[in-house]
Amino acid sequence: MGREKKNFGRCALCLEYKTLRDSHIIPELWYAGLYNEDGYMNEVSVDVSKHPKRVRKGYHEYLLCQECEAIIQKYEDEAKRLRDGTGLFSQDVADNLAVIGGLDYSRFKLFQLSVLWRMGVSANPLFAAVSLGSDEEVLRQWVLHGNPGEVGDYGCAIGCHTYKGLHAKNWMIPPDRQPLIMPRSGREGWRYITIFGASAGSSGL
Amino acid sequence: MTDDEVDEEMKMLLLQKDGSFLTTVEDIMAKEGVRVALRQIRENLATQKEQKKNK
Ligand SMILES: [Zn+2]
Repeated sequence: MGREKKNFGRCALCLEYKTLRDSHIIPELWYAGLYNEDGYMNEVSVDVSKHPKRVRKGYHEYLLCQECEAIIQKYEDEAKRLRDGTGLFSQDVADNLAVIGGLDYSRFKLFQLSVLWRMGVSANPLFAAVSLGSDEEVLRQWVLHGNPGEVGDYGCAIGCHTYKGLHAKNWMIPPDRQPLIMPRSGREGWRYITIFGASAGSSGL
Repeated sequence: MTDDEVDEEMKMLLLQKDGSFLTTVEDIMAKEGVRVALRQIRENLATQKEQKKNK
């Protein structure tokens, strides 16, 4: 009973008071390659006062109810297709430049936006760089109701990293926020960059 | 940013409605920031090890 009480709270996505799941901020799927044979990964910092930490189950907190976890799971299943290359095609267009196709726009963009939104609502200092302001509520509604917006609405880009010629899968870098200025129109916004599972994803504008 | 605020050239780099995207493949060591961070982390680990030894 005590345990249930601790898990009871307001779901960050549907805003209803329910039993909350211990939700991952970055989906557990993407941690797979990070754990060593003893089942943990190392968290290291550029800050000398922070000692290396062993992390066993990714980064998670009581955030979403079961129904909302199921909504996000649909988006994550699409991301799994990208990770596994299921039903996708890839075409090199130049050195270090390729077109990847075959994803479902709506589900994959909502995956990216859901990671950005989760980082925004997370209490973990690791994701503190993501500060969405009034966009947080817009993204909550979009993720909840399955609205991916137009291509440029919180547009998302994806890059791929290699290390010594191989996909650099076994690392993760917390999000970073940078100012973004459109070269032509001069419009200003923010760019968020986060790196996990060999892809730099979720560059919400 | 909203769709009409994004330059057309920039839009090409984003996830498209047909489910495709243009991706750059980049060696992580080509990034200055990553090189600096890795060096810093290595130095920190050595310093922390030294501190532990001296305790
Ligand atoms: Zn909910």
